[in-house]
Amino acid sequence: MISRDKKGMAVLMDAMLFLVVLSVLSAFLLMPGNDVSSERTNETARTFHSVMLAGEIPYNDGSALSQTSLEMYLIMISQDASFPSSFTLEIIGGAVNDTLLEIKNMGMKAWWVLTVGGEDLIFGTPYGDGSLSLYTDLRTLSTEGTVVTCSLTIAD
Amino acid sequence: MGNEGVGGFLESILGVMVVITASSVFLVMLSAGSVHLIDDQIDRSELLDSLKMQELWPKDDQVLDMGYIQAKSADEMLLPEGVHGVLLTYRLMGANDTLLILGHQPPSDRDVVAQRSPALLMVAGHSLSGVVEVQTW
Repeated sequence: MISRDKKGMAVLMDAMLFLVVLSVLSAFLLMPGNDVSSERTNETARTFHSVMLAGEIPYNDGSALSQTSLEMYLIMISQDASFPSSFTLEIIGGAVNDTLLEIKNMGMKAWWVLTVGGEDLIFGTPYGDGSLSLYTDLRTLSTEGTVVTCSLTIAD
Repeated sequence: MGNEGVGGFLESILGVMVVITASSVFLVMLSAGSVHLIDDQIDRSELLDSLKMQELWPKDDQVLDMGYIQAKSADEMLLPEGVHGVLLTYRLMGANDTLLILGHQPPSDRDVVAQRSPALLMVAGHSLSGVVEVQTW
């Protein structure tokens, strides 16, 4: 009887050790799920930003400007030393806000920052309470010595 | 228990613990998406590659020509093995109204896999930012 009790205790101890190892292994196996999720959000920021910059600005007067991509438009305005006019900001906002709305409809928060002439112009509402992870796609557009940077940030 | 002693009792507890642990691990894996009870045999990457080849899905910086897609018929679409049907929806970024729908509505008794991607859409000679969504079953 005593021998059987000892055997039972030994088997129980072995089983508990096995379960602990199994639990640790399961935890390690499931951890990459977070990496996949953040990789996906990074990809979302990158692809949406690319398409937004390559899309034409909403300006339909039939001139050459009406077929200008946002990226080219940003380079054009950066060559002008003065601060962008309200009309220019309206055109940029029209090209940016649809993308921000699309990302918002996907259940995420997004905003876009254009740095021109050393000043930041923010489109959308920045989210900064620290409870969500931030994913930023930063682009530097340059031509003939002029540099303009813009970043799309997604909070998820 | 009298004849088997404490060892037998411990062995029976052990059996119960193993069952509980196995079911817990299975449930955790299920919730993490490692195991699929639903028959999810659709290979997304294979489907998207097929759609890219047919110029129905954005590939790198390629612009999708709405005129070309509009001329296509849903029956012409080449679908990978295991895919029974596809519904493609094209719309401008942030808009609710669709520009173009290609395919058939998914049947209510099927599990549908959906995917979305931003895309440059060529509409009336203008390259506009848009979104393409695919539902497949």
